[in-house]
Amino acid sequence: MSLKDILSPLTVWRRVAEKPYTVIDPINDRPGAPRYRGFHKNDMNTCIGCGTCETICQNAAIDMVPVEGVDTTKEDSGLRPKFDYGRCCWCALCVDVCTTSSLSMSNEYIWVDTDPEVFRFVAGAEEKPWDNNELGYQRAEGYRLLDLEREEMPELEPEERLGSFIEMVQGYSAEQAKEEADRCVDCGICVATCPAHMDIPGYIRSIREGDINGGLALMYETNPFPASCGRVCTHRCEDVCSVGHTGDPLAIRWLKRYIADQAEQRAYQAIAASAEDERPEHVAVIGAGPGGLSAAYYLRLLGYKVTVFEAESHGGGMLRYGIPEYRLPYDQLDKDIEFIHSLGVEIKYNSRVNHDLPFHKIYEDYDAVFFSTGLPDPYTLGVEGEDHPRVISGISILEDVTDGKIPELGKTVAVVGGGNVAMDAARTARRLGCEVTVLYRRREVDMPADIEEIVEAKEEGVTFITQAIPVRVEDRGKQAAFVWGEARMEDQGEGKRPKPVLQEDKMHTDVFDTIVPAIGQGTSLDFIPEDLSDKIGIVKYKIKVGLHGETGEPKIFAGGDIANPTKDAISAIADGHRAAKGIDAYLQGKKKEA
Amino acid sequence: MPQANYEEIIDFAIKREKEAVQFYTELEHIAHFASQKELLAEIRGMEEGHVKILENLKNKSLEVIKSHPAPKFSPSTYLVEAQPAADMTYQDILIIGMKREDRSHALYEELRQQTDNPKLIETFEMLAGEESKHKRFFEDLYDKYVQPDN
Repeated sequence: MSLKDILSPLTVWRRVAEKPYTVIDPINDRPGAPRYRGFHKNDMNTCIGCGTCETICQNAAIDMVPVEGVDTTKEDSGLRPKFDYGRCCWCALCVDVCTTSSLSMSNEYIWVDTDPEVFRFVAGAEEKPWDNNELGYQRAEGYRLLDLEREEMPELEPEERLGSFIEMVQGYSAEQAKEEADRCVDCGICVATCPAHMDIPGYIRSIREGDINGGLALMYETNPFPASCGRVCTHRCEDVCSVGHTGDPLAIRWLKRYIADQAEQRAYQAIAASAEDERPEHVAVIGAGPGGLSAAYYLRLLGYKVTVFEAESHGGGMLRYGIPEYRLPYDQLDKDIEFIHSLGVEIKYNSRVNHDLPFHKIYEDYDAVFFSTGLPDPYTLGVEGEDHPRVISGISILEDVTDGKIPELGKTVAVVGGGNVAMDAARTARRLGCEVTVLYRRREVDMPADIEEIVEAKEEGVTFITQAIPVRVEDRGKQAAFVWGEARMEDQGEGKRPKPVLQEDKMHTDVFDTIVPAIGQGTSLDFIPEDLSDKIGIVKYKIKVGLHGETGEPKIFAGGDIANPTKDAISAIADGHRAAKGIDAYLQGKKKEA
Repeated sequence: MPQANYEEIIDFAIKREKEAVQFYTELEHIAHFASQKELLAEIRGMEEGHVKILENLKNKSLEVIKSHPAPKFSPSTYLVEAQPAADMTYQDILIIGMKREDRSHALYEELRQQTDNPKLIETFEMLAGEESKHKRFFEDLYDKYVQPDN
C-alpha cells in the first residue's frame, strides 16, 4: 500500500467546506417550471365524467370511477378520472383533450409516501397540497385537440325558401358527414338524454368507419323513424354533448339523417332486423303517429300480429299534419312508415275509433291494445269574439296544407303563440305570401319553440311582438281586429316561467286578415268508454301510465303525448318501444298463467 | 248582509260553498267522459275543503289564516265564460272554475267594503283570499296545460 492510498480518502473531507450539490428543500428551493406537467388537478364541478381523458391515455393510467357526492345526471356520467401514477407519463394528453377544460396539472412533482396505493387517486375528490397551486400545465389558449367547429349544414337562403315548400336543409355530403363524425369523442353522455336511448356514438362511429348499413341497423334497434327524426328531432342529445361545453355540439341529428338518406327504403329489409317467428297473439294499436307505429314495429319484430287504426288518411300523426313539408318532406316520412308496413304491420286508415269502430270491440277482439292518439285538438284563445270567421287555428292551417288545400289567409296574418306550431304556422303563412306577425304573451327567451325555428322565422321575415296578451277579437267586416294588452312580467321564482300580467292602460288594436291561435293542444279522450276509462286511470286529461305504458287496465297500454309531458316525437317513439316490451311481458305472462 | 253578525256571515259563506259543491256535482252528472269527471271531482273536493274551513272558523280564531290578494287583471277577467255541457273540454272546465272563484272573490270584496266591523272585515278578507287562491290555482293549471305555447 502506498502513502497515496492511505491519504486519498481523507481528501473527501475537503468537500465538507464546499457548497452542496444536492437540494435540501427541493419544493421551495427548486420549484417546477411555471408550465411544468406535474400532478393532476380536476375541477369537480366542471368535469362531466365524459371519459375522454381515459380514452386518450396511451398508458391506461386513467380509470373512470364513481365518486361519493357526485350524482349521475343527464349531463354528467357521475364518474371522475382516477389517475394511476405507476403508469402515468405526464404527457398531458388528458388535459389537452378534456372537453370541459376541467383537467389541468400543477407544477408540483414531489410526493413521498411509503404506501404505493396512495399514488392511485381521484384528482379533485381527494384533497392534495397542490390543489390550489395556480402554476403548472394548462392547455395553451387556442390550442385544442378537439375540432370545436361544426360542419356547416347547407341550407336554402331565406329568399329561396319563401314561395315554395322545398326542404330547407339540404343534408351533408359524405365528406362533410365524415368530418362532423370525426369530432365525436365517443363519450356517450348523449345516450342518457335521448328519450329512446339511441346508440348515438355507435351510429356516428359507423359513419367514420364507412359502415352505413351498420349505422342504420343500430338506429333501428331503438328508433324506427330515422329519416324523420334525422330532420325534426328535438335533439336534446346535442344540448348535453360534451364537445358543446367549449365548442359547437356535434350535429347528431344531421348525422342521423345522413345515414337514413344513404339507404334506399327497399334496402332496409336487408339491413334492419326482421320479425321473429310468428306468435298467435294479435295486438291493436290506435293511432299511426310515431308512438303507435313505434309500438307496432317492435311488436311485429317480436312476432305479434299488429293492426293499427288511424283516423286520418295517412300515417305519421303530428309528424305529417303538424310539421310542414319544408322541414319534413312527406316522402321521407313515408319511407319510415313504409318500412314498418312492409314487415307485415296492418294499417287501417280512415278508421276513427268510436266513430268507425267501437273501442269496446277492439278491446274484446284483440289480445292487447296500445293507444297513442296524441293531442290533435287545438285550444282556443278563450277570448270574446273568437268565433269570428277570420280566426283559424294553426293546426288546421298546417293540416290543410298537408292535405294539399291552400288556406285563404289574406295578406296580413297574426299568429298567437310561441311554440313550434306557432312558428310552423307563421312560416307556412309566409310561404303563402302573407305578412306575418307573431304575438306572444311572454318574452322571447320564454318561447317554447326550438330556437332554430325562431331564428329561421325571423330570417324569413316574420315580425315578433312579445309580452302581448290577447284580450278580444273584434269584427271588421272581412277582417278581424286583434285587441291585445302589454304584459308586465311577474317573477314566479326559480325554475318557473314568469307570469304575464295584463296592463289595462296599455292596450293595442291591430287589424289582420286572419288571426291564427296556436297556444296549445289537448284531447277529449272521448273515444274511451266510461267503464274502461275509470279503470285505465286519467288525471287532468292525461293517461296515467307506468314505465312500460301500462294503464290501470292490464290489457291496455298507452304512450306519447296523451301520457308523456315531454311532447315530442322521440319521446313518443321511446314510449312505443317501452310499451311493446310491456305488452310482450303481459302476453307472455298470461301464457304462463294459463 | 253588512248588518249581519259574524255567525250569519259564516253561514252565508258556507251556503255559497255548498252551492258550489252542488254545482260541480251536477256538472259531474252532465259530463260524459271519465276525463271530465276526474277533473270535476277534484274541483268539487276543493269546494268541500272550503266548507270545512268555514265550519271550523266558527270555533277558531281568524288570525292564523292569511289572505291571498288577487292580481287585478288575471286571465279570468278576459276569458269568455264557458257553458256547462256534456262535451266540456279541459279548457271549458278550468274557465268555469276560474269564473266561479272570481265571482265569489268579488262578492266577498264587495261585502268587506260595506262594513266597519273589524272582525267582519277580517273574515271577508280571509274568504276573498281563499277564493283568490283557488282561482289562481285554476289559472296556473290553465297556463300550464291549456296554453303551454303562449
